[in-house]
Amino acid sequence: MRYIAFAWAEWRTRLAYRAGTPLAVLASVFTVYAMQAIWKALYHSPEMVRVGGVTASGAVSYMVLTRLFVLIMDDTWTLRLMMGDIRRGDVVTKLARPVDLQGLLFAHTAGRHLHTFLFQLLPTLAVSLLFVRVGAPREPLRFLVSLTAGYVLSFGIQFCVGALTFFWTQVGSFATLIRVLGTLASGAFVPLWVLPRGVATVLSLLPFAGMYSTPLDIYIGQVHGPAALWGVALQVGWAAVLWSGGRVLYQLGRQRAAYAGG
Amino acid sequence: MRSLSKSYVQVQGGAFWRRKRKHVPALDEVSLQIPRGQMLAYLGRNGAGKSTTIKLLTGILRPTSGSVSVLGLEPYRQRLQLLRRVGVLFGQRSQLWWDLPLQDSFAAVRRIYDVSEARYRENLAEFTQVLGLSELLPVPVRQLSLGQRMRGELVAALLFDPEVVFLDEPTIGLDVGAKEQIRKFLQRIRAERRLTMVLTTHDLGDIEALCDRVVVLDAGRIVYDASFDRMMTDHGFIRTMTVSYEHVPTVRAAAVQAAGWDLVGNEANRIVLRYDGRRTTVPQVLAVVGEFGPIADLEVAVPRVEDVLRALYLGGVEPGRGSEGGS
Repeated sequence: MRYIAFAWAEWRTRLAYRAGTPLAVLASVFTVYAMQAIWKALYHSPEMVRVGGVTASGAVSYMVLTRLFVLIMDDTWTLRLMMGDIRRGDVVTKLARPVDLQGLLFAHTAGRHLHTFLFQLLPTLAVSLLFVRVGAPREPLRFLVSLTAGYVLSFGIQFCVGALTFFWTQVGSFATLIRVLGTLASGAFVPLWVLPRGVATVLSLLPFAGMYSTPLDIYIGQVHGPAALWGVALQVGWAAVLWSGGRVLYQLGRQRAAYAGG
Repeated sequence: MRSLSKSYVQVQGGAFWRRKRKHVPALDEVSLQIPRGQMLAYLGRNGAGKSTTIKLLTGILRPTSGSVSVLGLEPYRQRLQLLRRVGVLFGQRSQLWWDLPLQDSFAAVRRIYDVSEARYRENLAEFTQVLGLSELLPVPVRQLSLGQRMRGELVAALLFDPEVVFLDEPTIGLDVGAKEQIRKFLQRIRAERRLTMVLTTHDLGDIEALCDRVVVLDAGRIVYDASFDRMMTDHGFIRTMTVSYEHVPTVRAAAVQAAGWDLVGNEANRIVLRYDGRRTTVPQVLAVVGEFGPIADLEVAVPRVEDVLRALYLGGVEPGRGSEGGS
């Protein structure tokens, strides 16, 4: 209940700024349109008929959904909030509440993303379906589990990097580096199955792959059966590691924290 | 608090891989006991360690050494348990939701502290009525003036019936009217609920209106601890007498000096004297200054609270003076 209050407050905050939502949807629709056009064009070239065993429609579905997931998974709001709050000392207002900071921020983020999902992602998908076909998920339940694990994992990465601000106030450049690496290694920029097999295998073992590649590969049926189970297990494992790692960093950071100036 | 210390690591230049680090003490062996129901003014210059103490008492910071207990709990280790029973207000940082109407922030506080609907409504009605916030409940926090926002912060800090409240500069930057409203509210709440309050402030009106006890901190150490009345008795004894004469007086500085008084002003037909009110009475002074010429008017000023505190901050007081507080 305590944590739901933070999700609720963030949800209400986002509702206060609903005037900007239609423009955000429009921007997302443009991005989806451009992405599907690029991938359709790529699949029209004779060299790229079935890259990695994926058909043109599978590839287009993957990239369209990637653009939609980016709205949530690539939202660095939590990270920016943590970096700013810890550096300025404003985090004391959160630490003065009878709640755990990690849970508080997760609830905050979830409240924000519920709004994004309902008022930005779903409308973008609805409009996009007018000009592009996205197939149904091959294994809906496994996809949902994978997506949830990917979401927790994405939060875990942001929390870990954000908690580093307790030790190093200029963590911004490192955060940018992680974000760029994450974009390349997660399958958000290009699917991992278009990369050389060795590179794809290595990248698929990193936590970033759990954000886009694993759930979307399950969605389009590129990965199924035991391979899908292994992918989800890896995601859950990384989510647990990152959540615990973030917790350790936060506890160590709290011990050495100094908040001057009131 | 028993021998409570907190030091910070300050990085002072040097190469990236070989930073020069210095341990800066923010709080140094502070011992203090605050009985239930007391309203304590915790004073000191900027950087004296006041806010650091509040953060240690609320478990936000970890002590470097010493021990601290609030309501029988160890703040740093039992932060979540403790904060369900403790209200905090940071005057320089907002705990309300900036973009939400005031009423939504209060509703969130109700959920966070699990306040029953009936109790919430009762408290909200009383607090908003006393603080004049009823009309402002639907207004987003970002549209409130500083005084309105601070009143909102106060409601949020008290809405869940805390047993102890830490108020870190609650009247900072407010106009006279807003300060007065907040003081009256705190007086009322305290009388009704027998709350224990610790107030850090630079505002002397706050201390005079609200506090039973004054603790002065300087460079991380307690330099004074006594009741407000005791402080004024102990350090409010200097009197300043301004004597105006009908014409230019014949001032005998030696007589003034012999009496142990200070002649701090002597211009045209007016002199200003400073003397110890415990040892000297007004008639005694008049007996001397009356010989300088015919007196037209005179005024005796007692020190203001700020004069006393200025003397305390500037080190004119030995540590341990005054003992009513129980430190």
